[in-house]
Amino acid sequence: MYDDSTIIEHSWAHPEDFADIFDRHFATIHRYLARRAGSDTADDLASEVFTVALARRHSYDLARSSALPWLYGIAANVLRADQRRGRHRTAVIEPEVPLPDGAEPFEDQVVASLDARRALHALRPAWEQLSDDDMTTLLLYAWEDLSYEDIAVALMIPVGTVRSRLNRVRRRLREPEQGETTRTIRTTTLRSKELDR
Amino acid sequence: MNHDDFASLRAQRPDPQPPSDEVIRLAKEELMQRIQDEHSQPAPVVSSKANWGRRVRIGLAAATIAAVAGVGAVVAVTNHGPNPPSSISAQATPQQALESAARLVSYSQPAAGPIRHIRFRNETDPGDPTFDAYIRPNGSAMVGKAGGPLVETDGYLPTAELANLPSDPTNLRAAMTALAVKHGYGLPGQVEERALFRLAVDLLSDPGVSDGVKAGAYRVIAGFNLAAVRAKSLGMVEDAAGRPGIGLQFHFEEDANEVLVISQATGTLLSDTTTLSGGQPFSGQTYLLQENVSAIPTSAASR
Repeated sequence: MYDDSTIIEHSWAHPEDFADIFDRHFATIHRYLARRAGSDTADDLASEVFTVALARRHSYDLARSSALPWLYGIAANVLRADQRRGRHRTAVIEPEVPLPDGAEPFEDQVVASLDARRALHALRPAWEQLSDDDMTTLLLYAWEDLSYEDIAVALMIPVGTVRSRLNRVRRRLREPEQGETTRTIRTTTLRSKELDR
Repeated sequence: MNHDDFASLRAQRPDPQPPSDEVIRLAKEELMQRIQDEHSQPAPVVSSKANWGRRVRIGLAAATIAAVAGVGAVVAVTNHGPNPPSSISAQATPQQALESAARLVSYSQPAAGPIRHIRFRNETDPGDPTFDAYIRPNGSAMVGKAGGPLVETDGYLPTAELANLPSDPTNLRAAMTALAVKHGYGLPGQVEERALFRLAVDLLSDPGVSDGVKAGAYRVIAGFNLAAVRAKSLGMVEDAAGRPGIGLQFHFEEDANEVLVISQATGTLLSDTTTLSGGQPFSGQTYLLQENVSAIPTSAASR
């Protein structure tokens, strides 16, 4: 019934109301972190996103009815800080993560995490060229379905910068690797599976 | 693969398991602890995350016991819902006042029943009579002076069209534009925002419009080129019924001023009036009551 900005404004004086923001968005933020870094990391970091958001709620732009882009931005920063601390190696940029052979009975959460790694591993040659900023922008757009405007809010950058980052990523992903002018993501995936056998 | 919209990447989007109940409980417990800390120490606390991972992986059994109590506390403090935000400042700019009104209006009580009832005073009829309008879902209505006979009429917005309106101001403006064209708001030669303004006033005074859409309607107006329409805050004023509110003046046409009076405490639209440049009133309604009722009252329908 109440939009996020109303709740956050009221939480300035009544911080317990911020729990409503948690109820609305925890699962989404957890999913974002799990996609980027696996379920274990998401379990560890999703809570921190909301405690940081609680501490920063006084700076929230009340003109924005949905807090989700803001929370995505905090999540991206929490993830980046965690990487800097070296406590987690994110699947997205981890080139050494081995592919699962697909035959072992993983637990559900582990499977989900490895699925993410497998998908990203298939794209690895292209991904390795992306900066962390470009990667974050791309995944907010392609995996989280945020609009350019929402990404701009999340990352606190101009919309034009979002556009230019995504255009740069498009160019890079479109460029074939050296010596493989016809290589596609599909063949990369198939090749990876063949190597696993 | 269509790189242009990252179709392949979207297709490979992982679908991880949702967080377990234990993870949710522990995370919420952590948040509520921070809130408790804030109550005891006003300064905001930034998470240290010292033992979080360890607690998730190792301490589930013990933590679950504590979490049960924690969740109970969470329900207790969140079920009441937020109290209304502060009132509209008399010193606010038009845009600030409209934004405050948008937040306040979302706190009005939800109503029930298919019949929309609006009681209003027509300020340009002799004697400023009060009218009751009972609007059926299809837009037909029974309207008449309070205490007098009701007559059959139509032309109100159908309830279904109101129910389908989005609350997001960008989408709402687009939907309002379509609605304004469909229902003939505005006159040829008038600027689009004039038509949207008239429609917004109708939405704001209609009990069939959700609180969220009313908030969106205020934000649609706030998104106008306010300098172009010479929007001006009049500060605290009174409507024709003597109720105090924040007055906002707009100047869509050379020969007329539009004034909205908005409740400072609730964000409810109290009245809208159009005054010609010479000062004489052209039209004006003061909204005394808006509610949804289950049926047109028998006494009203038969009188």
